[in-house]
Amino acid sequence: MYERVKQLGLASLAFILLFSVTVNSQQRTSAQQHYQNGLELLKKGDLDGSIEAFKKAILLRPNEAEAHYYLGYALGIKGQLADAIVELQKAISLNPELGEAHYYLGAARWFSRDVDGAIAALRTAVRLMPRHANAHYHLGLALQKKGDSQAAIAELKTAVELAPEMAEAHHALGLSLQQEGELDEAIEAFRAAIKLRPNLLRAYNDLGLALMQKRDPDGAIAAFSEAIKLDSGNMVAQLNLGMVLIQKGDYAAAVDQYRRIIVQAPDSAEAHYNLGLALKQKDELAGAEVELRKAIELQPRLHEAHYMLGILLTQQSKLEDAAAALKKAIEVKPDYPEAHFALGTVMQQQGNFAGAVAALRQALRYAPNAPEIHNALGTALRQTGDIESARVEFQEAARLNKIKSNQQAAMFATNTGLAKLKEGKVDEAIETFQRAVQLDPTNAQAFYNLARALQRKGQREEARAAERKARELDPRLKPLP
Amino acid sequence: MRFTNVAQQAGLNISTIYGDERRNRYLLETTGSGAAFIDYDNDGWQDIFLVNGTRLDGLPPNLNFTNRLYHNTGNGKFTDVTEKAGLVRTGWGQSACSGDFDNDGYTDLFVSSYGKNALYRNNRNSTFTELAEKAGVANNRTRWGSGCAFLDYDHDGLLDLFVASYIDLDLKTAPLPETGPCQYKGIMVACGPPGLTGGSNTLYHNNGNGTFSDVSEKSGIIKTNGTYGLGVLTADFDNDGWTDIYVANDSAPAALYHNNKNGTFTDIGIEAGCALSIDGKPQAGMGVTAGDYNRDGWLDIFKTNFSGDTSSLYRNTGKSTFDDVTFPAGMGLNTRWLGWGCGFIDVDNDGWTDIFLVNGHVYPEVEKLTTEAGYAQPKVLYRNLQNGSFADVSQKAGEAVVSPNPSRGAAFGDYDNDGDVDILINSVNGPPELLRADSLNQNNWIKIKLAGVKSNRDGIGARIKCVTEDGTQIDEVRSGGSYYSQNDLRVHFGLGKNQRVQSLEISWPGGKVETLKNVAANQLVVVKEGQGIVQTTTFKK
Repeated sequence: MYERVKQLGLASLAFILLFSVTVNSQQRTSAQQHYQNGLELLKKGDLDGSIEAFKKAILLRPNEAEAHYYLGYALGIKGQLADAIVELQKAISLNPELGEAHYYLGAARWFSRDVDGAIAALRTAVRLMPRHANAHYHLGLALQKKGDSQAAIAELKTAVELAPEMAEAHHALGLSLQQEGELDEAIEAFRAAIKLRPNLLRAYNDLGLALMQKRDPDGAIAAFSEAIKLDSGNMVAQLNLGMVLIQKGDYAAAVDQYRRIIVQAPDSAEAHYNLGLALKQKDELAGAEVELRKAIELQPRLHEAHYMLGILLTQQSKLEDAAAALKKAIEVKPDYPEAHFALGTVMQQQGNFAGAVAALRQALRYAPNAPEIHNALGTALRQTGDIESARVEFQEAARLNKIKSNQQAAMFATNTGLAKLKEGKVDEAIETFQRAVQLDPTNAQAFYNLARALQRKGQREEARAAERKARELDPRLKPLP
Repeated sequence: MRFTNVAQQAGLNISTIYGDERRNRYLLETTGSGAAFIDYDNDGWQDIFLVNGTRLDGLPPNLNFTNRLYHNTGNGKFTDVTEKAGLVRTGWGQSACSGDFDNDGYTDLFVSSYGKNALYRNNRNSTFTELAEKAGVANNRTRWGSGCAFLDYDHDGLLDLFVASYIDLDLKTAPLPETGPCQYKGIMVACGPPGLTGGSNTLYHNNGNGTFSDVSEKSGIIKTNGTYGLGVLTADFDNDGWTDIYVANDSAPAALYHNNKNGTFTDIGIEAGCALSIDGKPQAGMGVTAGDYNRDGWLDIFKTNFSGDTSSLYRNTGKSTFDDVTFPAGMGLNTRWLGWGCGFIDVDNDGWTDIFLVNGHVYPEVEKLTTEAGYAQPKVLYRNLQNGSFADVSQKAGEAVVSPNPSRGAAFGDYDNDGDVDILINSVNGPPELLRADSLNQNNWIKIKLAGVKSNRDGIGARIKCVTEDGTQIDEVRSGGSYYSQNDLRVHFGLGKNQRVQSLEISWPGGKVETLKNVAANQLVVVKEGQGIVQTTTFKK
């Protein structure tokens, strides 16, 4: 039987979840008695006693896989992960078909931060026990950690199918979907998790973030507000709420929110920084400067605060101070293209054109495809009298800008094509998608929808070619029926 | 200086219609229309012309909106003479610019449109005849004519015509907010201009027989880095005596068409440093104006941009290049407003040109947002501190300045002939504003009206240098400018405490220079090419 046990601390997290104890009532040898005793003690929660009993049993009969397995399990619960792993591996070597041993080995490795090891063990566990929801869930978590969101989604979807009541699995599935940009499905998964566990705070926060990504600030505000209702001291939700208010452009509300946070957490550099941002957006520059300086005082290595202070001082024509703040930002984070860029433009305004050129070249090291930096560098080079180099930079900027504007045009064309397809105007849709792929030959959606339209028109060969191209550009696209 | 909105009492009480009031499907509904000060009957008083728009689904049957001409009766009142003047026209009117293209002594009027443009020849009897089609400047139906200006780019004494174009917009294929999808801060809004096909600017050469020829290709006008043209400004930026053209482009680098003096132009905006923001980004340029704010003898450029950005001030270095001095000049402080019409005007007549701009958000949908800026926005007055920088003094300039309005076109002129410059503002779906300037000081001024003989009759493109004990100011007679608007063609200089102008130097298009010495302040002088001052008028002060 499986039962949920209480959290015992970080080291034993692997073993807080589920446990199966099968009591063999046969009384054969003293080894068997120790083993049986161990099980009884384990059931009662006497970890030390059960460990002692399993060890005695193993001493007498060292090749009993079950005894090693339960010893490993008990050690894991106790937080002795390294010893637990040894015992579980021993159990597996004696009986490779012992699925639960693989599962707990995977869990022990997961909590020992051995992600690859966990994945290997959990893969075997799900092979041996394909209907073990927890094994799929943990494998999903490990794959998520490994960055393989696609595989994680598959495991987590199986987990929620097998155990639809498992709120954590829905939540984890939402995170992987969000990572893959599948925002609608992610939002659905977070909502399912919340429905099952209305007090699952993390799910509200993640739902809010997904809604923010989806550019639904009102939905995000509602989600963060729910999280705050559950725990008014939850700083993550509080800060997220402020952030979404800024995204929404409701700077007055954002200012109020950050001021509330600061009352609760006066030493939150992040809150002061964001308050500074919101005030800056309201053109309340003096107040913004105070907050940014406070953020820096609390967290001197907060590079964004130095950078933003530099921008703010530039706005106020305090160019020397602005340059100093931007240099500080670069000192904290040398690979900070925005700060190099801003420093370059400040130097330009100070008439230090050579310095500007150097700073802008530095910015381009980290952001070579930013047309605006090429333009600014072009202007600075022109100001130094290097007209030819300036021209090269302007041309590069124009090239990059053209790509950008074509991408936007292709997006419009694709969406217009989709609308036409919906209206049944297939020929017009094809024409529009063709324009889109011409504008942006890297737009997988344009090719994919062109393929759909061509298919509908009965032009199978052309449809297949377009589909091939689409799936080459984005292998995640599903094959057309 | 204080400004008071006297539109209502002056008789300007009919609202301008432009697109849906709450939700716009296309950018066409957002850009608004221009305003003009013109003295169409040569009575010495600036009349008013306001361009009107329409709605995508047509106007309600009980409404009859049209462009409007108001006659200035000289007593602070205006009379609607639209019908009598033959100027009734509905549609997507855009900008207005004036110039005496047939050199008959009466200024004519051009109105650009989404659709066919209108060229109104002044019949010299307070009526106009529309002859765009006949003259060859009507354009095809889908072209979106935006800012316009008359100029004599080839010094043949005839006014040519430049018309910018915003988007090559076809409502049948343009994306809707939902199909774009196009969002601004989480709300669905009209799409573009990025992603839409940009329009192509047009230069028309005046053939001298009532017709124009499209010379856009031959002149190099179509070869430009930016597109999505809105505000148009003509001025001689490199002091070579030939008029150049600057176009504020939306979401694209601005264009500076340098006049090559051989009938062709080259867009040097990017290389010259006046096409982008200081951080190399294209801005959403709307309105544009020129003035020598630092009195170094070179015309500088001020351009209005989108919210979240600053306006741009480009200082002319005198070497055919500009430096972006927006931040050092103190203009980095306002980022919330979305600017449109603008002008370099000397509001306090101290001899240093100030800057006035009008604002209003593009999207009516922003009203759903609880942002502070809103759809209707206040105007901004920057006072020239005479040291290369400006201070925002809007709060001290009167309720009319700070009161919010969804403004677009703004024209600058002295409609009450009292020696200070007033402001006419066209709105989107609202009544116009007429901001009467009331001087709080005793500073002096002078106005100059030019009458060309060999040059075009309005003297458009002439450079005037005004020298007093305090220094030298320059300005030019200019058609178009601001956002879609036409300013008073009389050139105004504030003179501070100076009672007299030491010299007025007029450089006519074509190169002839005339110098007038020791001219008294506080009067309008009419200068005829080759004949000096032919008339003076002293206004009440």
